[in-house]
Amino acid sequence: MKKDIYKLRIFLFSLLGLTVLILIYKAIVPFGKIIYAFNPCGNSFIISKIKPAERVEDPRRNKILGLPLGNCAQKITGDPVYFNLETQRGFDRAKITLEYRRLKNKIIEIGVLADKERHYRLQPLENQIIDNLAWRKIEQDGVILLQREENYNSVDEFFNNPPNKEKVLTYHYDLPAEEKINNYGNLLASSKAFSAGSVRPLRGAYQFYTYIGGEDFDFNFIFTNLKTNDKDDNIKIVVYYKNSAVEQKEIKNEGEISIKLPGPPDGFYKIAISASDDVITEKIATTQRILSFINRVWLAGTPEPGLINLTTDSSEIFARTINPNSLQKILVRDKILKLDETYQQFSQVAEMPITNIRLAKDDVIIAGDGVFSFSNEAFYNPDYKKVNKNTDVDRQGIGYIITSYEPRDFEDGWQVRTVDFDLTKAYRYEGVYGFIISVPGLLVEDEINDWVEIGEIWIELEGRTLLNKILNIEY
Amino acid sequence: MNSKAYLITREIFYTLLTALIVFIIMEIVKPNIVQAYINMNLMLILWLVSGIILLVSSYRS
Repeated sequence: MKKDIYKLRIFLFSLLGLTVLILIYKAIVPFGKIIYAFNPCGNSFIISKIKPAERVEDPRRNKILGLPLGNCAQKITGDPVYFNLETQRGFDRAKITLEYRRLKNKIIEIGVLADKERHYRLQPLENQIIDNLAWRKIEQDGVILLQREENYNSVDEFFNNPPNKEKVLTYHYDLPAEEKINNYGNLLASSKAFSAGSVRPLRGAYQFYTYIGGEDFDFNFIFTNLKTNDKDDNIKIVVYYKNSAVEQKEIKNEGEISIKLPGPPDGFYKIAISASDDVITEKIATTQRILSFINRVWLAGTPEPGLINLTTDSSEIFARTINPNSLQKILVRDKILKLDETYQQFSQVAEMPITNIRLAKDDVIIAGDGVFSFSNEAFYNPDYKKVNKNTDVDRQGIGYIITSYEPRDFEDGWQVRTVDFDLTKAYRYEGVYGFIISVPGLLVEDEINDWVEIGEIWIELEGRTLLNKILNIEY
Repeated sequence: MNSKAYLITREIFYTLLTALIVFIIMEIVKPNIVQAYINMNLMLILWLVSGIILLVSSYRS
């Protein structure tokens, strides 16, 4: 009897020891590779549920769904959604395989959290706009050129002799922005002189492009503060030339900042103003002709706004306000964008390459994927336009798309696709990697029946082996 | 409860106690290393149940 008890004790403690070893193995991943699987119906500590709850439906467990590999799925009805991956150690690469199907949505992207400011590094999972093009394709070193007509024999030829910027779209590829404006002197001569009063007071942070062509760089900003709290507000201006900061100035709360650069090199400059929403830019005075605000402007509230005109090349214009006195009908070319609720975003698709926007009231945030200017003369966008959910290559007269996305044959039903991420550039906070699934245009509150349904998610992680780590410590 | 069942339950009780102590220490050192795979609440319940069975058996005998 005693022998049997000892045997049982040995067996139970061996099982405990084995369990501890397995847990330590799963935590340190000594061979550097591990795969985690997520099922919407399961409860996993490693991969969290998809959230927020208001943008997803309850998971459905039903064999009639026709799921090829599992028997549970969850619909995403709003964009974007998030999930986390909690690991005991860091990894270098992740291969995420998603089993999904969709109704109506053209672009699905997945991304990893890149920094603590909650920026995500997105990768395309599917882009039906590109998949459906029957254009000629050239591939070179992971860069794909799609052309409506075969005008280029290689990607290098395209880079060396690019076509008119208006005919090119990019998708997940950073094509260098235009560097010089041809015949800038003629543009200066033919257009009206810049008027300091033409830029409306702006609220909060913003960025804009300007252009220097044989002239000095001269800007003067006047800032005031709404003082809604006792905290100091830092106001920082950074001037970038070819993606490098060339000048920087800072003040607190309010005051005047003057930036002068004598004899700067010709080209486009980006000016970034970092400020809280309490800071108002009352005035921007400059000798520069071009002022194009990038993606977003918050028109500050003023006692008598008058009629506000904006020019933009955005494909879709978004408007939002937190001020009930700013509710209005905004004219987007000849269409009406109704801004009839506060704290809600409304949008209007712009069907022309350049659109004029007219507002009767300010204290409104206007946003889009292009640039905004307060006059036609001040308008210029040096960036290439990107493929988005509203892209219509025929209507826009596009002849070329340059991308890192490999087009695939479009199929209905369940898909299984894989995306790679470099986790060395990802932000891991308290052992957690954050991920996003982005489906532009997927809104809960619209009455359109569109969704993306997720079956299973597999995450294959790869990193340094235990041996590599030990050897690194020795040396 | 016969003596064999009592002895088996006692071994299970002590093994679960050791496991709980080891797992709690592991969790303190590296949070979620155990909880990601093992439900410690369930282990705690099993340990308590085995302890109660032992106490009741001892009391009766």
